[in-house]
Amino acid sequence: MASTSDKSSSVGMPQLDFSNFDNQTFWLLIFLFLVFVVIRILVMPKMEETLTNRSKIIEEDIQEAEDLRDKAVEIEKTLNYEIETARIKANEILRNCKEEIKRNTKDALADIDVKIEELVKNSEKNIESLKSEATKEVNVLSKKLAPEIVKALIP
Amino acid sequence: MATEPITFEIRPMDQFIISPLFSEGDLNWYTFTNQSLWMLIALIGIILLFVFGIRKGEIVPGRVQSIAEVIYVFVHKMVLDITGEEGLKYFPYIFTLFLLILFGNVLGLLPYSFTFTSHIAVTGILALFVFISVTLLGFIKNGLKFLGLFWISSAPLALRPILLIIEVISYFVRPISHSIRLAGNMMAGHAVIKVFAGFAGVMGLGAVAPILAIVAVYGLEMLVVVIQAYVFTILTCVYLNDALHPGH
Repeated sequence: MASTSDKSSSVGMPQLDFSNFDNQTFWLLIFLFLVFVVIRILVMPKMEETLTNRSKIIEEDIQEAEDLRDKAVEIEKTLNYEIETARIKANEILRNCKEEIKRNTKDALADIDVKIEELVKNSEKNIESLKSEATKEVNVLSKKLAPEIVKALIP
Repeated sequence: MATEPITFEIRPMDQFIISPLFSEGDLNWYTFTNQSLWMLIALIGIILLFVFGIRKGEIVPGRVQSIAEVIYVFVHKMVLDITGEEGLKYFPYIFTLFLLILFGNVLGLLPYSFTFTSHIAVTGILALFVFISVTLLGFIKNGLKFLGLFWISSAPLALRPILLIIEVISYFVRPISHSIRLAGNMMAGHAVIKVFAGFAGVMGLGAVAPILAIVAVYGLEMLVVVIQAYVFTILTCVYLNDALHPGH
């Protein structure tokens, strides 16, 4: 007990033992200086380099991404434009086709009407001629049959 | 219970005794002590983390490099935020203070280690270093206008003499509070842990309670240790800012 309670702990608080302040100051200043030298010479240049490198790369990446985005927007614009023109063109073609079909149908209908009329006329002529022939034949036949009928009636 | 005279003696302050390491006898100003040893270990720790940790300088940092970068950027931003652009010139000094204190504090939490930041001599030198350099810097940068720091021009004229006294006193108390805050925090936490440990040594099975208390205090100390390094550094920044812009 006597060995520990001499000098240093006799104060109660070793912190208040002023006899070693010179020693503490000396070593603190030495290590403070060494830490400073390490930081100034070894740590800061390397750290700054790493950090600026990183921020540069990040900046470049962001720039690139922005460029790509702009490009994508442009591409989208042209795409939309092309789609729009294609749609207009398709509509036009569709309209043209419809009109052509309509015209074709009308023409065909007119043609058919003419043909049908012709056919009707021909048929009427045929019927007429057949009718007259038939009456002629009926006349001939009745002239032939009349004596027969009379013969049969008058026995 | 039969053996009544238990030598129940807790010496919570013995952990702070400075003793020579390689030589017997008297402590001269150049003697390498246990305190110097832990300063050396702090220096080695700083070199390991900040020199070897960032050696590769990777763009996507690994674990150790991340830790080093976070600490570096943290202090850098602190200096920039508080003192502005022109304060960045003094960043290496502030970073030196921060690292030495941080490593001293954290290493002090290791069992059987020595906490050199618990000594008022050490923190006093650090605080005096800050005080003297900030005061000199204030006069060099602003000349006599630096004294405007004590003459609060935004206060009513009648109050200014009173404020002058208060400001002058508070200015000269700065190094004292600056150093005692750090040393006191370090010393108190370690002493408390030591006291609980002393209880645990004589309580037998009941030692569970003081050991749990030690765990709790230790957890608290881990916070305190970092916060005190931070507080010391941020106050340094504030003082530096006063020197650079005395008009507020």
